Amino acid sequence: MSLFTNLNLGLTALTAQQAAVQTTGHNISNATTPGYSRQRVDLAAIQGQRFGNTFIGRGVAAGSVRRVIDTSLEGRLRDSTSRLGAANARSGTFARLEALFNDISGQGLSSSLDAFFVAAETLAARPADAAARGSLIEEGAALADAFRQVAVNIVADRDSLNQQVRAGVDEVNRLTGELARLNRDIVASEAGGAAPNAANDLRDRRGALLRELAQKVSIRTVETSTGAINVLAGSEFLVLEGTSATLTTVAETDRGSRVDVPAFAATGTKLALGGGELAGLLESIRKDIPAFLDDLNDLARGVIYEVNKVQSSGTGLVRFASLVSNHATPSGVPLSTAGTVTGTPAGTTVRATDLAGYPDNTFNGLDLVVRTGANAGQRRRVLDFDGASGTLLLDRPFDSQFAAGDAFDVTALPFPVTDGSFDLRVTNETTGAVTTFNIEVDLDKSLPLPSDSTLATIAAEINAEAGSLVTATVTADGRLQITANSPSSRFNFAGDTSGFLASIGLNSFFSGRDALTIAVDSQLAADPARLSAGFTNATNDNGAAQAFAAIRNAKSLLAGTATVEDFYRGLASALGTRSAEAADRAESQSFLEAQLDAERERLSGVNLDEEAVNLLTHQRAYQAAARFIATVDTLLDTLINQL
Amino acid sequence: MAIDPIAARSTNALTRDTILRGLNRSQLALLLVQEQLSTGKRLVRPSIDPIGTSLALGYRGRIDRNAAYVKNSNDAFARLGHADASLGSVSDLLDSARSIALAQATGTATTATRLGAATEVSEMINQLLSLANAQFEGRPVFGGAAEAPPFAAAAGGVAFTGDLAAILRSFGDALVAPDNVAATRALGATALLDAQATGSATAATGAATLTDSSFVGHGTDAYAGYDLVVRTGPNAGLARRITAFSSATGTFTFASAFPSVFAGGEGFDIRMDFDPTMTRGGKAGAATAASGPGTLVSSALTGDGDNAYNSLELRVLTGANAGAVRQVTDFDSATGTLTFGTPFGAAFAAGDTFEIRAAATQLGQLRGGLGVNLGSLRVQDGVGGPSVVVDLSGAKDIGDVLDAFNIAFGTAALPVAAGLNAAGNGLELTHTAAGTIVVSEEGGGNTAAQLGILTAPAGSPLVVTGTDLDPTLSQGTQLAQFRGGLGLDKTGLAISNGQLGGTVSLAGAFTVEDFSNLVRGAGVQASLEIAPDGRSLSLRQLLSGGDLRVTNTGGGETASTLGWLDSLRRKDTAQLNAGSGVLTSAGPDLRFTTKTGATFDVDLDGATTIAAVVDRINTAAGNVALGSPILAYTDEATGALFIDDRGPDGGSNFSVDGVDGSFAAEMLGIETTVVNPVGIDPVLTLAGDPLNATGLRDASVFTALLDLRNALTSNDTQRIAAAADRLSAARNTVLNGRAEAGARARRLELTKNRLEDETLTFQVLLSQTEDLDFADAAVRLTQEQTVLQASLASAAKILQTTLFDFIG
Repeated sequence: MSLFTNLNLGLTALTAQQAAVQTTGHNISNATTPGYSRQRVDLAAIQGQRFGNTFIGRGVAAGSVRRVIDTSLEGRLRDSTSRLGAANARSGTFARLEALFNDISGQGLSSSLDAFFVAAETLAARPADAAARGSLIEEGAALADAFRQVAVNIVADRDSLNQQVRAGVDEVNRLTGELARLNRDIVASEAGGAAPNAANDLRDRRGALLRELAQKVSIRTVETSTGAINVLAGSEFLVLEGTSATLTTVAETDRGSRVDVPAFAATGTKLALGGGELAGLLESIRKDIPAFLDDLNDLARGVIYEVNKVQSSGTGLVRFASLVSNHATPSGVPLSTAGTVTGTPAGTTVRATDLAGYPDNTFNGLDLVVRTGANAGQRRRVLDFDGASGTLLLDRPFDSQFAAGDAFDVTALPFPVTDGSFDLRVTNETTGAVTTFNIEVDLDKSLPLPSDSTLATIAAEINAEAGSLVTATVTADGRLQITANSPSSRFNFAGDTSGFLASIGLNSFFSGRDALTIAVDSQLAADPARLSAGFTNATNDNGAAQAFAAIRNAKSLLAGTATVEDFYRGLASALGTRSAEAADRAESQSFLEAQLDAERERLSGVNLDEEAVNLLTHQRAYQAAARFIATVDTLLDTLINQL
Repeated sequence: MAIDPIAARSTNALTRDTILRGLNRSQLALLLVQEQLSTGKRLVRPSIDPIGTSLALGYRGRIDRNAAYVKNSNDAFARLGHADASLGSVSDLLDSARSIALAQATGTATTATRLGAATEVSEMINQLLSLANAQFEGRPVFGGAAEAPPFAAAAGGVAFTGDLAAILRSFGDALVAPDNVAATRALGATALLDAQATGSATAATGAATLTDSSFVGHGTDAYAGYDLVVRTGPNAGLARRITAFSSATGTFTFASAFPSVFAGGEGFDIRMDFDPTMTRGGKAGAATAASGPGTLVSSALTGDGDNAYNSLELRVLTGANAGAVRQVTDFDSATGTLTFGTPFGAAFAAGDTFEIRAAATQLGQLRGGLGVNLGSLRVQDGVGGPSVVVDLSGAKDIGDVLDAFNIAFGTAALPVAAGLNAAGNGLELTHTAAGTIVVSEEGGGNTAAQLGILTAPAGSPLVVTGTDLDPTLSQGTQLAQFRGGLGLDKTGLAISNGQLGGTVSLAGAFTVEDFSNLVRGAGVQASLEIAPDGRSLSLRQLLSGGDLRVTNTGGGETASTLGWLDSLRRKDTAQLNAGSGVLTSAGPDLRFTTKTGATFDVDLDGATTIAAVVDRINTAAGNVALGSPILAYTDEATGALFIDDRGPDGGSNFSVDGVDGSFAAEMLGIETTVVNPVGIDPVLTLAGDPLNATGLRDASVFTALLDLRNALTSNDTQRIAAAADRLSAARNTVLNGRAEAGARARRLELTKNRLEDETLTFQVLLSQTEDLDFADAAVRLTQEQTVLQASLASAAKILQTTLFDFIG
């Protein structure tokens, strides 16, 4: 032991306090840096020197500079961020969907529906009045516009969400690239784990990036012994040591619209999405928006079908010399074939033993429309039909599990057509004589099998019965065309109990098959005299106008349980509920996140007051150490100069 | 934010975040209040109150709907008011016309004044035309659904070209009512020639036949297939099916005898129920195999059900028999073979095409138009044997019912086939393997009972023959289906109507609709209608001032079978004497003195038809218990009443006189004495004078005025007086029309008031649901503002200070 040793001891104190002051300064400078964790210098007394029977301390050593951090909290925070990202994305979608409902201000779809039915009431008062007829058609056009506008906005919204998914994937790629680079840097800085705290600030940076990544996709992290962090989404590595996997998007089709699904560029494996903004966006694209669009389409289809049923069975001021159906169907295949699900099919295969016996491929290219059960109302394309077993192969699976006995129809037509009949009325416009031909639409699958009506047999039946007055043909693209044979003959229809006319679109009010395609039939728009106000040739018959108005109060939707208005109210209310739910979830998630954030901040954040105290402490310690050196110096002076 | 006091360590960033979060929340809350304040609505988004949103939409829909109903009420109120005003003018016009009639009926009037008055009445007719053609907002007030104007001068009268449709409007959710008054009810326009045949026995027969000589010449078997109901005598109230009718003698033969014999004088009616067969409807197709001329085979028809096409007429379109028509008498479902009652001229070759044009019998037509409401039933192959449930709930017509049965039997491999019974009026289930069929109800309904095929629990061996389902007529019913398949003679009708006349040949007609078109095309101002009960056809007289009569042509019996045949028997007494009618007095009107010298009186009060007059005479004659009966009947050839005295000769003359100054005997053309050539002729016949009965006329305001004008022109006092009576009757009709319009208007007014009250209630509810409570919002606004201000102030303070401010 010597005085010089003491000088050295003082030096260790100076150095250590300097390091502590510097770290405090570092903390103060980073007080507002996002993701920064406050650092502490680990000060440790140096092992004492043996002095006789005792040990005398040799000073202090500044150990490593340590981040004050709770790694498990960081993990929880990342999970919470993922959940918040998903919740925010969905709540945003609902907020935009809600904006499409400006009914509360009285100008939405519901007011268009009201206006349409009120116009029908007005027409009932003045069936022959050109203005009243024009007005109903105009209100019909406004209603169609309202439907289309909402539908187009929804589809546009879905497109913009797809774009957000693509942007999100780009962001993920940037983040994982950055993380891989940081991994390399950290491993290098920490010499493969030899200097575990050498890369504190790089680690903070990495932590911040992980949180950003978690906001996009839910991730799991594993830290290796070398200090690198591997990032997994599901069971696939996004970042592995110093490398990152690049993501891309794969376009899928869901209910006729595009869905961009994130996937690994190298393998094509779809990214597992448990949470995060991307998961929320995809949930919106796949579930929330289609559910709403489906409801809207159901409403639009209900309105189209009910209105067209009245129009097609009614009589306008003019009758027709020639008419072509709006919709087409393969001429040799039954208009609609009812089937019942056998067993509990899975995937894209549906078996119906009651379809067995039809020739192979009969139903290829037609649609399977479910009538009852969990999937009621859903529509899938039939890709292949096996006649021996009655098995249909579909383009994609149904949303829910089928139960045995669920009923469905196989048809190419957009609306239901059932066993029944309709009247073809031919009027001799010179004498006023009306001849009625009852055309049977036979869809009861009576034996032998080919007895069900096809477009070709309907045309043949019209020609056989009314061939002297009208000619029916099936056009090359599968539409029914009826033409009066003589210039004095005009025809129209009445008493359709089968839905055939409305389904195939003969003398329609609305063309189109859903909310996106609904429009007033162009021929009707061009000639309001075609509008059916009555059911007889009498000019002032208002029967059909009354029937149009009665659609409002008729329980025609949801298997006959809801009126148009009920359905719409349900739609608005459900949207409000779902939106409120999503907003609540986002808010509570955000609250949770804030709590976790606060917890992290309480542990790892910088408190300037604390740092000020630290600074003062270290300053005083430094001053004391300097004083100590001065004292030792005095001692040395005494020794050297006084002796 | 709760902070764990032990781990409490606040940092600057935490403070900042906490403050920011609080500020953000205050500002969002403020934004919502501001949005609500600026729109005045509480529900600015559905998510604010999803249930409230649904309610608000419901209330608003309700309010809009009520507004539409109120608008409809106002509109209909105005329309009915317009009708009332027009009818008021019509009523005034009729009053003036009646004054003219009363003035000109007196002795002081001269030919010259009457001619002058006739001109005045002509002018009134023109005025009336313009009133009756009144329009309101593009629709004729009395024209139904037709295009205006509904009345036009034609053929010396006024023709109605409108229709009688009720223009229904909605005045409430469950309140649908017409906003017009039909021309029949307001103006008495048009009249119906109903299917009707009435008579009385003119000879003593047994109990199995009945003879009425006034039916001679009505056509062979013209009434076969109908029921004859006896009106008077010992068989009164009983009915028997007519199986044959002799046109030469006017004799009806019945399926079964009545309990008592007919002595002559018994009145009867023929029940005109056209009773069509059931069918699964028309079909067009081609022969699929060669066959003889008596049958046609088309495999496309197999499985359609036995007898499903029976009694329909089939027309061959191509091949050797092209153009020929025959009635199907049997259809065999297993082979698709149609058998004809009369063979075609040539054999059929495969590929010959044919058509059957007829509408399927709808389920609503069954049970006399009551319809059936079908569910499910169970058919079992023998007691305890295999069974199948047949769901008929989707069936709309008889074809659907047959198909549902046969598909179910086919699917379950049950040896049963469904078809129609041989009579064509019910279903029939046949066991194909000679077993027993059990039909029972399924699911608690009464489907099998309604279809008339419910069996006893033990079942029915071999076959279940359904009961008569009694379908009604439709526009698509074939004429050949009438009378259970006996059909309607297609020779045709001669129709005359005032100055108009024409014949309608039914040769090319298949259906009721075809018939209707032919009547319309005949240009006689008459139209065909199915009677409201759906059992017969009626002819509507559309010409005011017209005189509708229908007779057979070409030796056929079409008019007879339709029950339209013009005959004195079916006339009202008001139609006699060119429409002047018959005046009766209180108490006895006629006094008969018979050959025996006995006398009896007949009271005609309340006897408004010739048939009733004849019945009264015959009944009174029977009541005085004469040695032999007095028998009254109509002589259709001369259009007069004839009365036979068949009693023993008492040396007295046979005479009819008026009693107590009654003119009835004179006006019935029977006030005369038949001199008794003593000892020569046991039967004295009193041949009345021709009664000059009119055809069917309407009771319209036009007819009354036209009558008056014609009476004035022809200077006929009696007819002027009759016209005055007609004018009174027409005025009553108009008053009733006004009352009807007024009552409806008042009801609409009440409904409207109720709806307006209801709207007010819903407006209050809507406002409570969706509108902003401004006081509440203002308080919230203030609160949030205070919170924001406090947050801002405290934030400014907290963020200012750190220890660094105080050290150094």
